[in-house]
Amino acid sequence: MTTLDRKAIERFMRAQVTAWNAHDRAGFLALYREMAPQSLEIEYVGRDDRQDGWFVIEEMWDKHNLQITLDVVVTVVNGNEAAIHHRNCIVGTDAAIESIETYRFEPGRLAVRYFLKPPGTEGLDLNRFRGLAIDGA
Amino acid sequence: MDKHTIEAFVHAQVMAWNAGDKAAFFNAYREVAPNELTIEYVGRGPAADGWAVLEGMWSQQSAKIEIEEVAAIVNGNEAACHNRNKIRGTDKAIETLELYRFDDGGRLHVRYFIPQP
Repeated sequence: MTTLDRKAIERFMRAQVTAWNAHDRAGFLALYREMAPQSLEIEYVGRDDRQDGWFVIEEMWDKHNLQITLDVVVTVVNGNEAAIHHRNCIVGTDAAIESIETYRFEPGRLAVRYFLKPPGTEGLDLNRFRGLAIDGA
Repeated sequence: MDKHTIEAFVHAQVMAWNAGDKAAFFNAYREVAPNELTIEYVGRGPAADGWAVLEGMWSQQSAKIEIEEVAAIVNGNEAACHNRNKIRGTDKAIETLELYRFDDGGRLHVRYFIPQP
């Protein structure tokens, strides 16, 4: 992606949710590779266990794709950035992890930041979920 | 700044806004940002002096808009909020996603994502 236009960002935001919910791993990762061929950074805000973005996104898929479906609450694209509010619905429960996520697109680079709010559901093992785990996993 | 202080600020500013209480609204900001407040409308240039932005926002919008808190997430020294800005007397609302970063030394940096037509 050499030109950072709003329509391309909107397409990416929609397509990643579609691919996630369709369990299309190849399609999901291809979207990120297209937008971030040079650099992908992913940060869980407030945690200092920063790791390589590709490792994070692949592990997130492998650990969570079958556990979580995405419900988009709102998406806003301003300039070369997007912010989105997702409900990450935990399959087989009524619980959801609320996330507000920001995406900053620069030529060949994408920086993502996740704000996560755990569900109030009692008895849910938060260690199952990247970004919420007490042990940092 | 601890999580409870940040949560208290996030809710207090909305309560003050909806109550039309300008003094309480500005006091909420002064308590967490005594030394610096910047506000950026993402995609519309660099951050500006936040006090001037807040004054303008209050004078132009406070009578017209009621805020509904859809979500507020506090992680570390930052908060992300989804607010529904309901235009009084209509069925319309403007959904905003707002980021608040509370830095040491009484500094607050705010970034607004606002849908563009």
